[in-house]
Amino acid sequence: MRIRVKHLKYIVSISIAILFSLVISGIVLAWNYDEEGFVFENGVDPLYYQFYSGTSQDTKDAFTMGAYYWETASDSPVNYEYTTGIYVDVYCYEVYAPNWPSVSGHCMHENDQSLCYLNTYVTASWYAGKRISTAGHELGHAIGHGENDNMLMDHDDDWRWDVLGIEEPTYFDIYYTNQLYD
Amino acid sequence: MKGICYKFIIGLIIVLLGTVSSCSATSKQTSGEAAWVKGYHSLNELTTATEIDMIAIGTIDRVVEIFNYSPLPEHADYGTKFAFRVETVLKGEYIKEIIVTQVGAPNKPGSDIGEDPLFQIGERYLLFLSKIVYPDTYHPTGEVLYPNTYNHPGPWGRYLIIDNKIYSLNNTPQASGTYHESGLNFNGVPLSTFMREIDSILQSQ
Repeated sequence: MRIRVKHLKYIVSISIAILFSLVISGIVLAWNYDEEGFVFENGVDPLYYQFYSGTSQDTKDAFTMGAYYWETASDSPVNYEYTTGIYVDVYCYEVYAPNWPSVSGHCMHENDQSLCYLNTYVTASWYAGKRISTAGHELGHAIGHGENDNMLMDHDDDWRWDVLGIEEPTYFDIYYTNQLYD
Repeated sequence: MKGICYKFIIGLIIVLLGTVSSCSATSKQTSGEAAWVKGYHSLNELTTATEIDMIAIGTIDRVVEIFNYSPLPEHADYGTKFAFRVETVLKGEYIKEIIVTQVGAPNKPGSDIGEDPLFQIGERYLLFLSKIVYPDTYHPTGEVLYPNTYNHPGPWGRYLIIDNKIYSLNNTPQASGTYHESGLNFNGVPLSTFMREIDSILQSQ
């Protein structure tokens, strides 16, 4: 009986420690979470995306897979749908910009639409997976996320893909998407 | 009594968590965002990087050109070329004036990158720079107008100098939300100390 009580104390202590760690991590993550200050007023289900003219197949594939991952991630509220129609939420395209060899992708917002590009000066020589990771990152900006460490929204391509191997939205990317669009 | 105390503490933590979440959710930022090819974590890494061709101290003198680098008829993407008047070069060859390019245009709000906002005329910087190989590709003629064109590798490559003190971007009003790795977080370090550190890294190479 004494042993059991002793074990019970350990279990309670460990449970409290785990709970405390989770709460602290939650506070730290919530504190560090960065958003852009842009959201789609009508939500993200559905969210229509389209390619601008002249976009290469490699870039189209990257954005298509990036959109697919946002849509199929567990508990994701995002439903990216490709459209050829005139109602478009997110435009995807590419630029060849040797003027910024350090920028692989960029996303901005204009007239309640998001515009995301990959810089093929940088991305053309990459593995497809790294392009998908960066395209997915830009599609995350498209829905309003800022830069967040160690997730798909980490702004450092080398770290995000080469080191962490992140190609799809992580649990926390989706968690914060739900926070944004709740 | 102990039970009530625990419940109170847990409740307090939950309330705190909720408050923090809602506070961060109201922060606003209007500029665009980017993905960077490489992040840097220390002064040593930045100084010795092979892609860094020049480390220079100088002043943003003027806007030389605002250009549209988008190949699309449907949409424009703007970039700006700033003239950077060089005082001192710590790495690379001395050039009196160079061109530094940035994403975005001063007259197009939201076209720049939130983490790397456009330079302001008159600002003094220590910049880590990569030379641009094809600086004028967007010109239809392909003519190279500005051969000495450089770009800094993101927010890690620019350090504002105020009263001979160095400030990383996260410690400036321009981009206070930007984070920097602890190895590149500078808040009022004397310029002379910073220069000595860079020189020492270069000497030990």
